[in-house]
Amino acid sequence: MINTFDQARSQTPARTFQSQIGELNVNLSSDSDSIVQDFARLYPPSLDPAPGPAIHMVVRRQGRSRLGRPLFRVYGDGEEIGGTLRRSEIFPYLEWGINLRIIASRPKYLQLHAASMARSGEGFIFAGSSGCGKSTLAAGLLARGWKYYCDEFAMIHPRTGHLHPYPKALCIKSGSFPALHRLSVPFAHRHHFVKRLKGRVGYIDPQSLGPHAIADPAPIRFVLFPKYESEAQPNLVPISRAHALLELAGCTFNRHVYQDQLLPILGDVVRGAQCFRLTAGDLQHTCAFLESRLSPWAAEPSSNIVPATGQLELDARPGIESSRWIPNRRDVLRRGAQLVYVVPTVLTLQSQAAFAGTSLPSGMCSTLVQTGGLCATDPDCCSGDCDLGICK
Amino acid sequence: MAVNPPIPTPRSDEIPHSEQPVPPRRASVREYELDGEAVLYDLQTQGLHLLNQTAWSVWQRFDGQSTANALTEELVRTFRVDSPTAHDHVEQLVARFTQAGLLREDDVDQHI
Repeated sequence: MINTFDQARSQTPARTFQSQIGELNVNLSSDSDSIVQDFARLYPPSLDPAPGPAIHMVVRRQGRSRLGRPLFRVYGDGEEIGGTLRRSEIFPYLEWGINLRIIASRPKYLQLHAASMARSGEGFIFAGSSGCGKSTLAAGLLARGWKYYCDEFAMIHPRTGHLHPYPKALCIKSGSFPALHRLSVPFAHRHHFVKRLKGRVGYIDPQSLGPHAIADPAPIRFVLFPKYESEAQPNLVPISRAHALLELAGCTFNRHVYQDQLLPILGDVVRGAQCFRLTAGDLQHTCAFLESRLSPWAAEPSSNIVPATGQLELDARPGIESSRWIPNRRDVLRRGAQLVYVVPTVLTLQSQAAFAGTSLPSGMCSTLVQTGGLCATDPDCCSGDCDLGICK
Repeated sequence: MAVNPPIPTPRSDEIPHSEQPVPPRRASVREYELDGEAVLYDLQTQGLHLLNQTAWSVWQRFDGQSTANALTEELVRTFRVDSPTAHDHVEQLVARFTQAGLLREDDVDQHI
C-alpha cells in the first residue's frame, strides 16, 4: 500500500546524513541504510556546515513491486520528486532533485548548463545540452590532473565573473564506461544506476582522483561548446564572442533571475575568454588535444585567434579550422572606406527551444526551470501527461 | 585586410519609396554589442537573438522615426551594396524582427 505524501512526510526517517557539496549543505534522510550509504560514499559528512539553508532530501520506502522488490519515493525540500521508483533509480533522482533545488533556490550564482574545469588557475567552460559529452570530458580531464568545479553547472559569480565549485559526483553514461576504465578512473559504486532518459549511469567521486582535485575560484579563459562524434578527430573552430554569448545565455538555468544583468555578466565572461566549438572524439585524444592546443594560448589571451578587424588569420596547427571574421565597422569607417556588405542575419534561440533543447539537465522539464518549481509528476515527462511540462 | 573602394551613393529616385517610419524596438529588449555583432535578450519572452553586423546596424535605427528609405540609405552609405538589395533586406529585417516579437506591436500594426 502506498502512503500519501503527507503521511510519508510526517514519518521520521530512520537515518539522516548531513553532507556538504562545495558551499551547499545537503541533508539526506531515508529509512533505507543502503541508500544513505550510497550517498555517503560520494559526499563527505558536513563537519562545519556552510552558511545558508540546507537542501533536504528524503527517500522513503513506498511498498513493494509485484516481484517483491522495495519501491521508493523521493522528496526535495518537502516536495515529491518523481513517482514510485525502484532502488536502482533512486540515486539519479536524488542528483536530479538536488540540481533542481539549486536552480530554484540558489540565485547567488549565475548557473549555466556546462561542465566547468580549471587548469593552471584558468577556468574552462564546456557548455551544451545533455549528451554532448560534458561529463565524460570533465572526467577525462580530471584524470589528467585538471581541477574540477562541476560536470553539470558552471557557477559564475555575477560580480567577479569567476567560476565557483559545486563539486557534485560526476554522472557518467554507460557508453563512456570503457573510455574511463581505460583511464583507470574509479567509479564510486560496484553497481550502476538507471536514469530513465540516459539509461545506465555510474558516479565518480571527484576527490577520488586526487586530494586537491577541486578547483579554487578562477576567471574563465576558455568557453567551449563540445559535440561528441565517435569517429571524429578532435577539432576546434573559433566562434565569435557574440555567438558564444548567445549560446551561453541560452544555456543559463536561472536567467530569469538576472534579467537586465544577464548579458552584461556573460558579456564580460566572453570578453575575457576565447570561444570555440569543439568536436570531441576519442576521450584520450581529445583531452591531449585540448592540452596541446589551448595551453599556449592561455598565456596570451589576446592572440591571433580573434583579431579585432579583418579576416581571422590562418592558423596552420592541425585540428584548428580558421573561420571568416567580419571586419569591425568603426575601424573601416575610420579609414573612409565602405564595409564589405554581409547579408543581414538574425539567429534566434526560441525561449522554449533554448530551455528544452540546450539548457536542461536530463529529464528536467523546461517549465520547471522557468518557474523554479518541482514537477508534480514524472521528471522525465515526455508523454504530455504532465500539465507543467513542455515535452521534448 | 582588403577593403573594397566605395561605390557611388545612388540618387534618391533609385531608392524604393517607403516613407512610413519603421516600428520602434520593444522596451523589454536588452542589447549587448560585441565586436560589431550584438545579442538581443527579450525579458518578456526570454527570447535570445544574435544579429550580425549588418542586422545590428539596422536594428539600432528602429526608433519609430526612421523610415525604410532612411535605413536603406544608411546601408548604402555604410556598406558596398546597391539600394534595391539594401531595401529588400531592410524589409526582410522588419518582417523578421516583427515575427520575433521584438518590435512594439501597436506600431507594427500601423506599419502593416
